[in-house]
Amino acid sequence: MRVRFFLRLVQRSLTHRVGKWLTAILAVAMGVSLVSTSLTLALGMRAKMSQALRAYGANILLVPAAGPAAAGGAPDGAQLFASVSEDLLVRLGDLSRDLPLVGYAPLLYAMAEIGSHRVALVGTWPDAIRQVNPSWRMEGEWITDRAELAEAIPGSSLAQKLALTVGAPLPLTIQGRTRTFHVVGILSTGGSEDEQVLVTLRAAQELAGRAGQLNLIQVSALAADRGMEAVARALEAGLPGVAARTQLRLVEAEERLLARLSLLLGLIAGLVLVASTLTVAADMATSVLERTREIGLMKALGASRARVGCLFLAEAGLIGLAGGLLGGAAGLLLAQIIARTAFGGTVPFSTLPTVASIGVGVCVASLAGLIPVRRAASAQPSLVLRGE
Amino acid sequence: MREIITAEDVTKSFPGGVVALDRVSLAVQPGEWIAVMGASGSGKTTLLNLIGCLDRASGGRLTLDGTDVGHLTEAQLTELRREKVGLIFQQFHLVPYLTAVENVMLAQYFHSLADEPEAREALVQVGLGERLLHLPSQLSGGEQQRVCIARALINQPKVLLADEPTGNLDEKNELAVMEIFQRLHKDGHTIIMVTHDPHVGTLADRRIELEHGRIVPVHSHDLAGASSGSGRRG
Repeated sequence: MRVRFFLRLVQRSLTHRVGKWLTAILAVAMGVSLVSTSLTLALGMRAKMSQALRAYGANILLVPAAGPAAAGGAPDGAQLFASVSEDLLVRLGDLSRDLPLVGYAPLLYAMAEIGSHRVALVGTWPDAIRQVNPSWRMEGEWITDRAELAEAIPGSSLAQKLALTVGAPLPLTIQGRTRTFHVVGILSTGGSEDEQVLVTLRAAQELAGRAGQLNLIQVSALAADRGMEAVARALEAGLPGVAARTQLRLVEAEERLLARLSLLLGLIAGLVLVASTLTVAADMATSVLERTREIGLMKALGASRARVGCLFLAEAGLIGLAGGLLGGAAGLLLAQIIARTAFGGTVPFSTLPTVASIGVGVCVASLAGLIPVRRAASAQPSLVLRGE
Repeated sequence: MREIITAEDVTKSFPGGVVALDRVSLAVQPGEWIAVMGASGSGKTTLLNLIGCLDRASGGRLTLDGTDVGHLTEAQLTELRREKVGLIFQQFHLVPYLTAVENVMLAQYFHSLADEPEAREALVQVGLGERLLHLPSQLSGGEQQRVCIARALINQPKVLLADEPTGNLDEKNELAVMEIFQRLHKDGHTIIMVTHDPHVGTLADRRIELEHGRIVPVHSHDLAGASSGSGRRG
């Protein structure tokens, strides 16, 4: 009964002042959301990158020397990537005899339209891309012929979005040219390919009007760390105008970006948390001041310092909890937005950032409440009889 | 019979040299109803604060139910107040966001355990059986004062301290509240009531008049019922 009435008191008090506490809750939520974002990104992206390292077959990307390095990332426009001639593939075939290569797959990216949807079209050698990426899962059939012009493989997310099934027609339009493919399989990679449409290199070149061109080549080499770097240098030496980027380097670059982003978010989160603490402290101090008579009454009725302190601390804790929940959810959302825009993917949900966010919220609000609560607990009961 | 309250040369001064009570001596018998009267600033409320363990005397000796309060720590004073004293205020001091019954339960909660049926019964006893779940803002002044009385009585205190309990009430409510006090007195409660109202004063067993912090002889009223423990200082 004691605990139940205590909770009833706290609930009544909080609902009575819900408007006044809103700023405190929002202040906590703001600080906590950045903590949540930072943690979600740090944990989620790191896990995703190490997963990519383990599962991704291609460990070297060959890109035009001036082109951007993006490991399978979705292009934003038909001409985002610089192109190279597919003659390169002949020279690469020669080089592969002397290098420990498992396989290589050329890729050409173009933006296509399916009705009102814009999607990334990827032209490749289906058998080669499959060899380079053994972990990819296929529902249906792979395209068997490199010269095939009417078969397409949409990614699983895209297929779900457009309700595409195996056997369905898939009209693709690029710059007014339309060709209707039919779906032979649905691809699941856990990466950006899930949002793309895969066709043969020949079909993509024809539809995009870019005959003989390609944007990058995925290479799978039987080497690790320094050995991979040596293979990359050998490829660069044998293929003029081409830069060989090892997957390790890409991951390192992403990790550096992530570390910087986490540090920046951490710093901002720290500053915002300080501001949140001060805001909550100010709100609590105002509340204690406004409720001096009420506190005096409680003391006059026989409430101990601890009882009064607990009451206010519980209020502060609940404000922190509300701010923590709100901020935690906002942080998850923000992390997804950053992951999508900065890293071209999503981050998995993890309980640690959520629990930590709630914990931070409660701690910040309780810490902010300490001084006002101390003041409340030491209020003099004689105030009520003096009518102050 | 042992006095429930004794004050011997009790003095209370505030920073700046203001002496609110000047060597006041007093003895109150159990079941006695005392009216403390006097002009504003005469020290009435200060005396009530000291008896109710809400404040500490600067000098002298004060006992409540046999306990010398001068040597108690803050926590012990709180405990003594919780166990022995019921407070009734001129401004009612009800918690605005709690219903009538919850305001009574608040005193139970700080005393021991909140017991809703008992709190409801206490309100029924003061004629508020139909207003249990009303907030203070939904109650009239008289009703709020009755909630305040129910709250003061809920833990069966030895002493009821009332500071101008009818000061904010109209005549009708004043009568209703004074009827409750008369009933409480009849039931054997010890009541110390600060009042400006001479009529209210006449209902008490004994009147004490304060002037500049000292007890002075009462001129205007026959001290019927005064006991041997009446004010000794002038």
